[in-house]
Amino acid sequence: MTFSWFKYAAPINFYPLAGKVIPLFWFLAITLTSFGLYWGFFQTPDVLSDQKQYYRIIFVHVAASWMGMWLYAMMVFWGLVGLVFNTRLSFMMAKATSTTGALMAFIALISGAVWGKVSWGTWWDWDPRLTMSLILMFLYIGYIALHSAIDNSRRADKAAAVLSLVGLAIVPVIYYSVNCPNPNECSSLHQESSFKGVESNILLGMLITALGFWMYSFATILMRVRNIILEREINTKWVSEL
Amino acid sequence: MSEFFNMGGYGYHVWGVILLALGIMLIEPINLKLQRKTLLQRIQRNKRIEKNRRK
Repeated sequence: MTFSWFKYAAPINFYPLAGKVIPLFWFLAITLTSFGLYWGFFQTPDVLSDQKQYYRIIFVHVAASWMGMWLYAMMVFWGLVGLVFNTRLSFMMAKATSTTGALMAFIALISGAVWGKVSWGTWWDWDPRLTMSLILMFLYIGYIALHSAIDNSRRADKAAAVLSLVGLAIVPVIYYSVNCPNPNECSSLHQESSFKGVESNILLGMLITALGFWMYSFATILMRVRNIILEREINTKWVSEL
Repeated sequence: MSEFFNMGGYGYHVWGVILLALGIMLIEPINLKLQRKTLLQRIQRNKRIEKNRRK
């Protein structure tokens, strides 16, 4: 039997498949996140260079910030696939990704503000990375708002996908905004995102938590895409036979 | 144990962030579950209406 990707591009076939893998993603999400946080809180030293115990915000902050960026790229990817192949399911995936991405960007901003308050003495600063992260959240909100403003779901899909595509430029900017080669040209308050000098136990806790957040995102995105499928296909025969 | 929750005096900051994140990550799936329940009820209702119409 040959496995056909296009078979699962049809909502009718994807719906049961997604239902089957959701529990698996939940299992992985809960196991990895709890293990990562356990490691981060119990197997790590109480200081990270000049930071005291409050540095432990890192485990949530980094995981959420990464998800905020990656989910945006994923949302653009699905939107692009939808625009090129005109597949309904890809647009539904893009739409499903947007809410989880916005929530992750929100967690990243709030956790960053709290961390900034204790380490820099301020909740907010118009530092390049902070500003870009805020714009990223606005892009998510813009996507969601534009999508819900257009009644025809196919037109909404396409318009929102184009909007997200334009915003894609911001992801590499966020990524490189703190790794400035010359500090005199672009000073930033945000720490360099360097793994150098970070104790390996801290790194391990961070990476495993981030992996747990990935699994969480997959689980919620698939749950949401199933709801979107039901909503859009409510008048079809297969849905009425569920 | 209380020393652990105190986090060197930064307990509110650290646990506040953890609670916020886990809280959001709990509400999101619950919300999705409820959404699904409503949708399934709507589908069942449509089915009943369709059946009655055929009679």
